[in-house]
Amino acid sequence: MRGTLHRRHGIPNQDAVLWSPPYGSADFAATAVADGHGSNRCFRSEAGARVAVEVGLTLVSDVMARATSSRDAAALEQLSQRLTETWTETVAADLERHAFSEQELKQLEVQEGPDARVEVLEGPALAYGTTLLLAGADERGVVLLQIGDGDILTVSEAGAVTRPLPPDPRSVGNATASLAHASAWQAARTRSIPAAEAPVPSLVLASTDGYANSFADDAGFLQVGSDLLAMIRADGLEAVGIQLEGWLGEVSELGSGDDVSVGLLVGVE
Amino acid sequence: MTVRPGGQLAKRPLYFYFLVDCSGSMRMDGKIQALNTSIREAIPHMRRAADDNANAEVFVRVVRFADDAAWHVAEPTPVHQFTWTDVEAGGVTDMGAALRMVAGELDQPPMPDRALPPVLVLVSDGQPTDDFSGGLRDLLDKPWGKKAIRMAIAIGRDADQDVLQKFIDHLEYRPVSASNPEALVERMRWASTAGLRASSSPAAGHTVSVPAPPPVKDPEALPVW
Repeated sequence: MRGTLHRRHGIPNQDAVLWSPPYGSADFAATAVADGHGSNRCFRSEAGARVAVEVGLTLVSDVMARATSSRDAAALEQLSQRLTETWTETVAADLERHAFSEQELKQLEVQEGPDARVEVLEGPALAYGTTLLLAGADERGVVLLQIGDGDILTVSEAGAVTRPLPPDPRSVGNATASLAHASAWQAARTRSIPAAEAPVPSLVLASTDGYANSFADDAGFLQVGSDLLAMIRADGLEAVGIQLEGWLGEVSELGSGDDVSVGLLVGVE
Repeated sequence: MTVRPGGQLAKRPLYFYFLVDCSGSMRMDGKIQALNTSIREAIPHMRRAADDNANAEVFVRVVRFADDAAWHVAEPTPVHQFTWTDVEAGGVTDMGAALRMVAGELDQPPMPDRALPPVLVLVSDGQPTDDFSGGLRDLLDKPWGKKAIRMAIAIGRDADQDVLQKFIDHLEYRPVSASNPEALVERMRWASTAGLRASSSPAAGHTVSVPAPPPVKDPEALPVW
C-alpha cells in the first residue's frame, strides 16, 4: 500500500511483497516483504525491493522444501549469504541492462550534492537499497529471516502475540540495516522454530516498518496479530484479504504516512 | 466486518530542541534581544512546516546555557502551543553541560522507538568554557544523538566555528553565520523549518538531507557582530 506521504510527495510505493502459494494451501507457505529505502541516494529502491522479494521467496521456498537439517543455524547463515550475494548480482545485472541515466545522477547531485553522485557511482547497489523480511512455515516449524527494520510477529493458537526475532540495534529513527551494505548478511537476524520445540503458530505476520510506526504504542501494533487471527477465524481469510488494503490505507493516513505492506501465513485449522 | 485490526493510531513524534547561548557576551550589541526576536518570529514558520507533514507530531523543548545549563522549556510542547518567553544573558558558556542535558533525554526510553530523528539547533556567539568534548561525546554516544539532525548558528565573528562544526559532525554541512539581527532572523527561520522538513521527509531513510540555507537577503547589510 502506497503511503500517504509518498502520494503527497509524488514518490512511488517503494515496498514489495510476494507470497507462495498464490492461492489456497500447500505443503508449506512462505512470504517475503521488502521496504526500499526512501533516501534520495536510493533512487532505484523500488526495483531493489522487488528483486529482494523475488530472490528471497525463491531461496526461502528452497529451504522449506528441503530436509529439516537445512534449517539449522549454519544453514540459515548460508541462506543469509546466498540471499545477499544473489540480490547483489541481480541488481548489478539490472544496472548493466539499465545504466544510471544522466537525469537520475543529475537529480541526485541537485538533491544531495556532488559527493552523493560519487558515492553511488562507486557503490551502485546503494541506489537499490532495501530491507527484507522472510517467513516460511509448514508442519515441521517456522523459518524466519530479517535484514533491516520492519516486524515479524507470530500468533499462537490461543492468540498470544510474540516477536520471535531479537531487536536490531541498527534500526534507530529512519536508519536501518540494508541489503545494499557490503556485509548485509552479517546483519541478518534468523531463527528456526521447529514444531518439536514449540507449536507451529496459527498466524505469522511480516510487515514493513510503516505499519508498526503507525500505532500510538507497541501494544497497539501487537494487537494487530491477535485481532487478525480472530477475524480470519470468524470471517475467513478471503473476507480479511478484501478488507486489508482499506485498513492499511487508513493506518498510513492516520499514522506514519509511510508505505505499509504485510505478508500473512495462516495455519489451516 | 469493518473494525480495523490493532490499537490506537498516532502520528510519529518529532522532538525539536533549541540549545541557546545565554552567556554574558550575548548582552553585547543586542544579541540576546535579537535571539529572542528570531525564535519568536520562527514559530509561525515552524508551525507551517509541521502542518506540511500531517504524519508528524512536533514537540519543542529549549535548553539555555551560561553558568551551567537549564531547561527553559522543559516539557515537550506541541509546536502549536509553543510560545517564546525571553531569555536573559549573563555568565560563562557551559555548552558541554547543555549537550549532556539533551543527551540525557535521548535514551530509549524516554525516546519512543517509533520517533522521527530529533532536530537539535545550537545557537552560540562564543567558545565553550566547560567540557564541550565530554558533552558532545555523551550526545553522540546515544543512538538517537548520533541520528539527530544537528544544525548550528554562529552569531558574530567570535563564535567558535570549529566547535559548532564538531557538534554538526557531518562533512557536508557547516554552521551558518549571522552577523546582524536580520540575518539571525533568516538563519533561525531556515534552521527551524529545514530541520523539521528533513526529519519528517519520506526521503529520510538511509541518510537525512538538509537543504542548504538560502543566501542572506541583504548581503550588503552592515555586520554589527
